[in-house]
Amino acid sequence: MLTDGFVERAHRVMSEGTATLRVDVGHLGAGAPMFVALYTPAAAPIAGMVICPPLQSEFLVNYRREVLLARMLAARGFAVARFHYRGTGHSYGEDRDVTFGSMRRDAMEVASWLRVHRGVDVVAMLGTRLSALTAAAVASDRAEPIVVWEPIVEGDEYFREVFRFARMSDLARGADRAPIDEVNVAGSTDVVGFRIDRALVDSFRGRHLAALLGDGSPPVLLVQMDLTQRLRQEFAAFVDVQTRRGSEVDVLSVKGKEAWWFPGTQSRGSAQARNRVTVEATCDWLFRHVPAEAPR
Amino acid sequence: MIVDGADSRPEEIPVFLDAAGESLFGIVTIPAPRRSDALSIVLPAGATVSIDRNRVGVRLCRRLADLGVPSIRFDYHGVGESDGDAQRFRLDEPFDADLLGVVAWARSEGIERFVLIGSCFGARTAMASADRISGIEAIVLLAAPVRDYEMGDRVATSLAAGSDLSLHAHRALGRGAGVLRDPVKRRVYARYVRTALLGLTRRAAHPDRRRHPDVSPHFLASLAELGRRSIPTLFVYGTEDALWHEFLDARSGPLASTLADAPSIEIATLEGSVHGFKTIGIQDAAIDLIADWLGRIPTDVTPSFG
Repeated sequence: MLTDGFVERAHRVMSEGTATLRVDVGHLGAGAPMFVALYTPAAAPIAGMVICPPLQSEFLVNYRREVLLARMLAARGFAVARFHYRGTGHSYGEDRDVTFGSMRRDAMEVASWLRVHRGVDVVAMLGTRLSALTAAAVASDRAEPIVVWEPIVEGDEYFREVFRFARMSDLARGADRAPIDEVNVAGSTDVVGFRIDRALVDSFRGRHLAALLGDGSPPVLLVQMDLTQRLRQEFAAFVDVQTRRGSEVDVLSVKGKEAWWFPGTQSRGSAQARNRVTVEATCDWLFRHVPAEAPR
Repeated sequence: MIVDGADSRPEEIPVFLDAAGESLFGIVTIPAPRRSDALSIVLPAGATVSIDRNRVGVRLCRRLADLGVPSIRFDYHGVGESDGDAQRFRLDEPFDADLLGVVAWARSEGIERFVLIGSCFGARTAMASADRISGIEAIVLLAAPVRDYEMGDRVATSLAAGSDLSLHAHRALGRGAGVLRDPVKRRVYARYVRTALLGLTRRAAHPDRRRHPDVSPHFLASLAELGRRSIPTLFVYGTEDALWHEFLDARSGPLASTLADAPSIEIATLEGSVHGFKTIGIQDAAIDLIADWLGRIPTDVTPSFG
């Protein structure tokens, strides 16, 4: 059925705890449509949330946690949209076309659609890793709550880290490449089987989480996953900037390090424990930050 | 009912389907035009969503659609968009109920012919389920492990299976107390020790089998069944896959007679490591190989291919 730009292809009603919710999956938008999964509560939603997935390996690692969060939030009254950026996941489009700009446009399109067609005034954003930057760019427009899981606070540093990792992986298997040179000369490189394009790298140059949130920035929940409870240096610096701006920043430290570039290698038990803590705390925080005038 | 896609871009239709009481999620790719009535079922490698590394799952389905072949990729229970909880992925406990659920759903859509394409855990799930699926036209098995182990324990059990007593003692003494304190490491190490002891016992009893890995009885039985039914089967390994070397060892031992009696079973290798698809080159090569091989299936078996 074609309604409001969303072509719903399958749906189901499911239970989450004592609540009932509906899941619709389909495609949204023109051109190369995006894969979207929409989770709605049985009653009118109290608010909306858009979940922006990370990219590459991190997309696979974070996938289940995003599904579990969407289900739990819908059970607690939120209308939640999960989506895959154009050129990623189940969406149509080409991976070489993915940039900060295209990601922001896709996230904004989903947020606008949720607001207009699902009747929610407040649409919170969630972004993990690189998607924290795109989620921030969207959330700052209306100063609505934003959750960032293990965010990248600086685009340049992220790709430096990725290329360092690629170099180490190459050395481990006896290969000798310079991924950054490949990106600059050939336009793309291979990082343990994931394609990284120059357009993507260039588009994140100079992007900073704090700058994208801007002045008058929204309340933020930052989730760190690490072996230590101590806040990492880059997160501490981000919190400091936001606090000086008068923005509310809450921090949740989840014990356990995520192997972001090694999908499927961690024990199911530890991943599930980390998922549970992260999802429950995120739900609680969001519920507290939905404006009081929202119907409950 | 599945109908042909309307334009040149393959149409992708998300579906929810029931498998042993759990709701599984899948995406059907409909080619336009459609040249085959057989549905290719793509089974993920394990605890990863059907999209797989660098969209290998998605790209494979869309490539098959270019050949006019419809397909479905799906998430196992407890993974991705599907319901349920999957605590572990053991090769001797494949998720056959999930695959049989997909097949039952397809039959309810009027589809009676299938191609199974599985990688690692997915390959073993396809093999284990094949005897309960009629209408299989072909099977592609990528990096199929010949031994039984729990996903994540391959290296530990492989080391244990191939070592001598002094090496085990060195490893045990070198572990330190950290292993015993960590429950996950303790479990992995316990499996290592069990496998090592079992291997030592077996090698003592059968010195002639020293070179051969402990081939899974499930693998052997499934392989024999594929051969008996003359189902066109393609094993694909990477030359750098440890799984390939285990397969090679087994081929000169426990698998020898079964493979000799099964001309329908082919074996192909690609340069590099197919297991985990850890380079884009190997991903592209594997997709090309699958598409090419399916296109060459004899026309009396799949008249609508190619």
